[in-house]
Amino acid sequence: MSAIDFQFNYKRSITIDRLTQRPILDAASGTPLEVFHPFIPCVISSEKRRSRSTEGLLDSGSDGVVIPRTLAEYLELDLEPASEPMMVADGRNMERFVSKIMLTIGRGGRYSDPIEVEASVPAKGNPPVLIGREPVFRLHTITFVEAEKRLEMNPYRKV
Amino acid sequence: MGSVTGIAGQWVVVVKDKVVASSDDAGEMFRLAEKYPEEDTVVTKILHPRASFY
Repeated sequence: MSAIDFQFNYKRSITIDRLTQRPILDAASGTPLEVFHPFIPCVISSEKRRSRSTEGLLDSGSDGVVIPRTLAEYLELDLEPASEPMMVADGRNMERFVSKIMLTIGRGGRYSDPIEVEASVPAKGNPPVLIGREPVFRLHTITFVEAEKRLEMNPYRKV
Repeated sequence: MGSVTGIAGQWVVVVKDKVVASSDDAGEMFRLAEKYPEEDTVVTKILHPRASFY
């Protein structure tokens, strides 16, 4: 795999409430609430299709990569029922499928080599692309600089 | 992409830092994004500030 060091700023979002169609406000200041999340740019590919640039949320609480079913259908993935359901944080079991994808990290002409990943596809729900520990956290040393809303990703090198 | 404004939970197509479409359906947004130049286009999801995941 090509060894590329990345540094990404967290994504800043201002969120509009579905019902009121107005920005969700910060309770303390009364101004639109700014939230920051550690998304990284990536491209997701199948044997048949390649996505436009998208963003995956780095999630150390997830075992692996999760994509929504509608993205899996867009990519024309062959979905196989998983042998075990996905257990979510509150203890519920959720039916899921699995499929091989290729995950390429980067944007703007600076990309890692594609990484083959077995992605989980929940039968229900609409998650973002979640980038959990396997294999991305195993292949990289990731530093979250929360105070500066940025992260660093370096290929893992055993010392 | 540094900053985006959109409806909680929806997928958006962002072209040159401007949201041009949004939907609950990620596949619909990825299909729509094919119409725009690859180098200018990002498909992403707007997270609710209190969202939690798997």
